[in-house]
Amino acid sequence: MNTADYNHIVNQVSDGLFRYALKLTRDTESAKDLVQESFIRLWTNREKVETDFAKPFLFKVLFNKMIDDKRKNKRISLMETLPEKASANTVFGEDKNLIEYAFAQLDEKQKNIILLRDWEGYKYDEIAEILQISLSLVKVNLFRARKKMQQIITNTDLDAKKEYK
Amino acid sequence: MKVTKLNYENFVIDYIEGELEPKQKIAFDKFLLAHPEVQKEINEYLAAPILPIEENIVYENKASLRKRKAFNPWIILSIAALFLITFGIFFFNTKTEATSKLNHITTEENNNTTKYENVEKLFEQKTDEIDTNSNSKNLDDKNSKLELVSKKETESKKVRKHDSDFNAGFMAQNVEPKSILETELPIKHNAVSLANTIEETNQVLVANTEVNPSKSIQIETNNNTDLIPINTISRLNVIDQKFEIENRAIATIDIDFQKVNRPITENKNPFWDLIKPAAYEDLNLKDAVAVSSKPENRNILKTIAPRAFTK
Repeated sequence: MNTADYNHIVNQVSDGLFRYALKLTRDTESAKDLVQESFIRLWTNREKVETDFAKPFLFKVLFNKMIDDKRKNKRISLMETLPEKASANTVFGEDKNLIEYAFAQLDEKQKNIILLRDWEGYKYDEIAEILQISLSLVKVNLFRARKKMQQIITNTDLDAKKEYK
Repeated sequence: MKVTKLNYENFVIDYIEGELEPKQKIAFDKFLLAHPEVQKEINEYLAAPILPIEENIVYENKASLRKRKAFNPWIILSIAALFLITFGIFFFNTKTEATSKLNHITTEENNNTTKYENVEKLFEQKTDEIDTNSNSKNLDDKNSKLELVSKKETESKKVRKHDSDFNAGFMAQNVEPKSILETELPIKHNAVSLANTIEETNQVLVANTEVNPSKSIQIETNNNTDLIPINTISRLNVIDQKFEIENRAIATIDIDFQKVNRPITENKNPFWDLIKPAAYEDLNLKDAVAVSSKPENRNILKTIAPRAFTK
C-alpha cells in the first residue's frame, strides 16, 4: 500500500472508524485516540497490508486496542452502563432513541457485531476476522442480538420509554 | 445433522437467508414444527430494526492522519551523486589548470630569483675582493679610501647594468613597452607625483614601491622588477590599496600575479574596475603595463601604472 492508497483509506474509513469507536466507548477523546492509533498502526504496517484489507485491519486494530484499554480500566467505563442515554443530536425519528436504548442493552460482543454488520456492511466471515471469533459465533450472536433488541423494543413499557426519551 | 434446541442457533441465520443445503433445510423445518417458540424468535429477528448510522458524526482530524508523499530515496541519492560527480570534475579541471599555470609562473620566478641571487653574489664577491685588496694596501691612506669607494661604485654600476640587462631580457620575453622610466625617480613619490610623472614623461613606470602609513609611495631601487603586460593578467587576488587621483592615475599595491600570462577579457576581470575608472572607459587598456616585484619579497609591493592613463 503506497502513500496515495493510505490517504485514500483515511478519507474513506476514518469517519466510520470514529463512529464505531465513539459508539462503543461513548467518549470522544478516547474514540479520537483509538482512531489515531489505528491509523498509525496501518501506516507502520503499510508494506504488509494490502489496500483491500486496510479497512478490516483498522477495525481489528481498533477493536483490539479498545479491549486492551478496557482491561486496563483506563478509558472505557461505560460499555456496560445501563441505561444508555442517547445524544440530543442523534434523533432520526420517534423510534431512534428506542433503538439506541435497545442497542445499549447488548453485550460488548453483540454490539460489535451489530455495528460492523449494520454500519459497515461487513460479511459474517469479515466480522469473524475482525473480532477474532468463529464464523458460527458471529451468526449466533447476531441472531441473539437482533432478537434481544426487538424483544426490548416490544416489551419495554411505555413509562420506561418515556423515561428514556 | 440433527437440529436440536441446543444447536439450532448455529443454523438459524443460514436457514433464514436460504444458505442451508436441502437436507439441512428439511431438518430445520422439522425442528421448527416441533418448536414453535423458535419460529417466534425468528420472527423477532426479522422484525429487529437496523441500527441507523449516525452520519452526522465525522472524524475532523483527517488532515493529521494523512501522509505526504515521500521522495524516493534512490532518486535523491542519484541526484546527489550526479551533482557530486559534476562538481568534482569541474573542481579537478579548475585545480589542474591553476596548478599548471602556477607551476609555470613559479618556474619562471625561480629562474629569475636564481639570476638575481647570482648577481648579488657577484656583487658581494667583488666587494670582498675589494675589501681584501684594501686591507693589504694600508687603508690609512685617504686617497686609497677614495679609490676604494670609486672601485665599489664602479662594481656597483656593473652589477646594476647587469641587472638592467636582465630586466630588459625578461621584459623582452613578455612585453615590449615603448619606453621605460627606469632611473632618476625621486626617492619619495606620492600618488599625485607618481601620476604626474607618468603623465609628463608618457612613459611606463618600472619600479618597486613601498607604501608607508601615510599612503605615499616610496620608490626604491629598480632591481628585482618584473614587467608584465597587463592584458595578460587574468586575476589579481589581493589588492590592499588603491590610489586614484583625479582620475589621472592609479597605483595599486600587493597584487597576486599567480595568473599572469593568462588570456583575459575585460568583462570577466574584476581588476579592470580598479585600473579603469569611469572617465577612462574609452582607453585601450591593452597598452597598459603592470609592474611587480618578486612575489616572495613581501615587503616590496607592486605598482600598477597603466600607460594608457598617461595619454
